[in-house]
Amino acid sequence: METDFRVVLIEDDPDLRALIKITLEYTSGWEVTTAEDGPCGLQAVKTLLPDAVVVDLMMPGMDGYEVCRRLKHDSATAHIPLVLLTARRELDEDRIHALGIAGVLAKPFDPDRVAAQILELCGGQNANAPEQ
Amino acid sequence: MPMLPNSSGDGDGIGTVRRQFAVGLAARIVALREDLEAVSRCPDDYHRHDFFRKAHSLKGAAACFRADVLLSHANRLTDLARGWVGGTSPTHDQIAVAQTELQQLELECERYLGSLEASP
Repeated sequence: METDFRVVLIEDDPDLRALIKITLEYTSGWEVTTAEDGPCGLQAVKTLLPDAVVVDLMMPGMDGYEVCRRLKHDSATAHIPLVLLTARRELDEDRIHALGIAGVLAKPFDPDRVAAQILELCGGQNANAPEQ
Repeated sequence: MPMLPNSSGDGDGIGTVRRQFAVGLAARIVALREDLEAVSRCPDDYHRHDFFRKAHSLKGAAACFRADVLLSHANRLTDLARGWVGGTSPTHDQIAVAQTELQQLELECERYLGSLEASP
């Protein structure tokens, strides 16, 4: 598992934010920066240019779809893999595809596998890795 | 669920997060009850969506924390509220069902917190 992987996690629920952050940090040694809403998350992503963004779908104000849309429309962040986090089972697959979202991570997640799942969804690619 | 260290490395980090979740359940119940009262008084889309979002958030958190005793009630509240989002106003019977679910959920939350406090 890559230990220099950097993730921005955008999740409005404070308990889940803490759980996911500590899980990823401990199981994989990733550097996880959290944001409590879409606007804060967008700012964090633009500043940090992480290797991946994990964003909750259902948030007050700006939802996960809108966060992803804005990140993909910004040339500075368009290359960063986006993973949508949701407990919903009925998803708008067309919208997910159109937005270029790398994949969907279902709640509840398996703490032992969540980091590997995120990497799988991102295609195992480190967005900031130098090209070979 | 693996045992994860906290930031100082001297304890059970995930246990701390789980206890924070459990302690915060009372505030979630209060918020849900206030939203349900708002939906009952003024069933506009804003209040209905707010109630749905909070119920859905609790469902997701309960599932991730493996708080199965809370999950069934949170599921039923979410399913009820989902039907209210996007058009259909809740009936008096549905409000009453939601109030009952909230009461039961509150009891389960107290039991859940008690079980964590009783564990070493």
